[in-house]
Formats: sequence, structure tokens, C-alpha cells
Amino acid sequence: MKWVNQNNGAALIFAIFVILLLTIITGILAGALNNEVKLRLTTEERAVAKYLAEAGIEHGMFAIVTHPSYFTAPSAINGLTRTSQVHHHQTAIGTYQVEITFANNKFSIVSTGTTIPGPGIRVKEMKVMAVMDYSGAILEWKEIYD
Amino acid sequence: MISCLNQDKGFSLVEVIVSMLLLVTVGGGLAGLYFTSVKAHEVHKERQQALLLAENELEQIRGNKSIITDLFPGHTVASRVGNSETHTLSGYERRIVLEFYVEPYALFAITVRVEMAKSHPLNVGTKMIVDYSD
Repeated sequence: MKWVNQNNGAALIFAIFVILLLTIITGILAGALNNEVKLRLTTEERAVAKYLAEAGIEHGMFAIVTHPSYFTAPSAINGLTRTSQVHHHQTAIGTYQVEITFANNKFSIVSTGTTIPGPGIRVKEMKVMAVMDYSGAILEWKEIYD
Repeated sequence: MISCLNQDKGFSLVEVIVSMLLLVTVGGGLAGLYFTSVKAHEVHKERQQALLLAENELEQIRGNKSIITDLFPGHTVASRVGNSETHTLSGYERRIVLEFYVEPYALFAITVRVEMAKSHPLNVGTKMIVDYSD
């Protein structure tokens, strides 16, 4: 019981307690900062990938309306695919893959846009689906989440 | 408690030095985190504005095809496949490339590059079909 009455080492114990407290606060702040950075990255990548997927939809529509069988036998377009890239000068922004199906006189175009990783951007995929009728009118245009 | 305050025994020099060292280390880490957070916030704000700018530009072109048809008029479009038009505007560059043309439809690639002071440039791009028979 003798050690209870002496105050040797009290400053160290107090300092350790304060440090523990500060470490917890630092951890919480670091977690919040990390979340903010992740959120920023995800928002940006999703927007870029969505525009790539929409590029695929436009390419799919172009492939349909310019297909030699569009007026005579549109069912021949069923299963058509297209793959391409989007560049700004020499910088590759991303790629897209398009799949076209034809059923009940409607074309369903599903496009997956994928970002190409670069400075400040990671790989991100977004899927967009559009339904076009035989007259070329867009009946549906939506993002798909797996 | 009173007896504790009345005694003239203080902390030892080693205790104070060790305590100060630990506090400075953690305090420095916290300060570093604060400055990193401020910088991240500035970059975030800049990139968010850049994304908005790029989105606005792309949507403006999508909603107004005359921007494209003025650059690629119907009477020249067939002979200009592979050609591009680049415009440098305040803080960003817009590029429109004629990729394919099968009369009367053309497929254009539209890309926007926004330069930024605090981080890497942002590149956003899409494609657009234009019906020249309209």
C-alpha cells in the first residue's frame, strides 16, 4: 500500500491517459477524412463511368439504325455487340461494352461503362439500359445496379 | 488531497520530458491530420466544381445538337469522318470527334478536360448520335 501514497510516475500516467484520448479523437477524424476522400472519388468515378455507359447506348442506337437489316429483318440485330473506348486526345477515359437484344418489336440496349484507372481515378463500372421501339423512340433509359 | 497539494514534491525531469515528447508526437499527428483534412476539402471542392462544369458542358451539347451541326454541317459531314473540333474555353477544353457516318446518322465522341490548380485534370466523355435528316 506504500506505493499508493507516493506520486512518482503520476505525470506519465496522466500523459498516457491524455494520449489515449487524443489517439481516439485522431482515429475518429482520420476515419471521417478517409470517408470524405472515398465519397469524393466514388462520386467522380460514377459520373465518368455513367457517361461512358451512355456513350455505349448511343453507339448501340447508331448500330441499330444503320444496320442493313433494320427495315427488313430487325430480328437479325438480336445479339449484336459493340465495344469501344472514349479518349480525350491521347488520354483514354474508359471503355464500354454494348449488348443489343430484339424482342416484341423493341430493342433493348445494355451498356457497361468502365473507367480506366489513372491519376486520381480508380476502376469503376456503371451499367445503363435503354429500350427503343421499332420507330426509334426511346421508351426507357435507366441505370442498372447489380 | 490537501496534503498532496501542500507537499513540495513535483514531477521528475524524466517524467516531464517523456510526457512532453508523447504529447508533442500525438499533437503533431493531430495537426498534420487537420492540415491534410483542409487540403483534401479544397481538392474535393475543386474537383466537384470541375465535374459540374464537365457535366454541364456535355448536357448542353446533348440538349442542343445545333452545337454539333454548326461545327459539322450536313453538306460536309460525309467527308469529315475522323475529324475533330477542339475548343479551349476558360479552364477547360472541349473536343468533338466525328467517329462514324452512315447517311443520315453520325456518331460523335464528345469529351471535356478540366484543368485544375490543386489536382490532376478531370476527363469526362460520352458519345452522341445525330440524325441529319431532321
